[in-house]
Amino acid sequence: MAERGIRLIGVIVVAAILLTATLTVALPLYARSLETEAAAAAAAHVNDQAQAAVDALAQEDAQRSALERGVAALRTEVPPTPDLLAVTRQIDAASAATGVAMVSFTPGDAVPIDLPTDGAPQASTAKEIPLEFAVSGPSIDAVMAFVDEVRGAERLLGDLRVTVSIRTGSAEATIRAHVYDYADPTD
Amino acid sequence: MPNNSPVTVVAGVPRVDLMPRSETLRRGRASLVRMWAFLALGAAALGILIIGAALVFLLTANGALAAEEDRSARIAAERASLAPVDQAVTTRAAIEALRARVAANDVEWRSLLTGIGSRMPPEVTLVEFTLQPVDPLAAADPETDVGVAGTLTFIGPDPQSQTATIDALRTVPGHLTSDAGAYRTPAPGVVEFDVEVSFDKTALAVATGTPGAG
Repeated sequence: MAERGIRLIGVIVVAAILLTATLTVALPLYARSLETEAAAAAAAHVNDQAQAAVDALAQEDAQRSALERGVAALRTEVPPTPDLLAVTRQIDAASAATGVAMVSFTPGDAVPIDLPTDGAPQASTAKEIPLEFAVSGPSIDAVMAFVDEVRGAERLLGDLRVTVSIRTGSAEATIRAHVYDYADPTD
Repeated sequence: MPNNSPVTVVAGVPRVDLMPRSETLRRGRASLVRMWAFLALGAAALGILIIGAALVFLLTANGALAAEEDRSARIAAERASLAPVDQAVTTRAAIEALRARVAANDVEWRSLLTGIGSRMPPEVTLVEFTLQPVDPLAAADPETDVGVAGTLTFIGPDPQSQTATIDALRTVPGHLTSDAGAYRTPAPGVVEFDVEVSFDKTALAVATGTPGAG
């Protein structure tokens, strides 16, 4: 009877020691180690990507002057500010080259636009500026030549909506389009 | 014959167990307690081993995390030193995205209008049109999705000119849909009519490979 009691107490004590050690100490520690491991793996993944990005930047840095020339060339197409003077100059030059007369030029308000870039999401610094301008030319061909001249010019000009009326003998065209600006992100 | 059975002892010194039964029982209990005490100690040692193993896992993981944190700090520093390059690359990507956006809806205006003009019935004159690219950013099948749509206004001698004009428009390359719009009679023998028309994306410069804006 007493021996059974001793065995019973012994089993209980041994089981209590093992359960306490594993359940209340070892298991939480192990769980934390798994969490930490997962965090480390996630950080490693992020770091790998960041490292790849930095490596790509370092490569660009190696050809810094080519990069800067390229950006400077692109800047003539999309300047950091609206620079509508450059746009009117370009449209005037196109009208002079194709023999059509400028009738009106009306810029609208710049609207921020989203760009599908592969970089980190950031506040959009690209804007599109709606323009409407009217020209009067001797023929539909002259007006379309003007349109081609404008869309082929240096400053990027897109989303052209062209209305031409040839009722009065001359071709009266109204063109709606967008020009763009892009300010360097400051961070 | 086994000599450990007291009944069969025939020789040697006779031995009698004088230990009281209570003492035998007490000693038996004591050794049982000792055995369980050792087992309990063993269990404690095993528990400490298990905790130790868990601790080793945790320390290893902490070390790995700390190493990654160091690495990300180093990468951030390297990135900061390349900030001007980063900005130039970001600007380039943004402007190239804008160029792609513009190129995607750049219409070959002259070839489109030449195509329309060349198919018109001789008695009909195009007097007005409004055309614009449609949904330029959607990736699309160039031969089944609308690239350019708008309204064409013609003058002809009679209402039947509208039908003839739409039939003719349907032969223009890249034509997708055209339908009758309103018609008016501004003067006797003069009918002015609208045609709602759309062309597929082959009307766009990007489809013909012609360099566009820029």
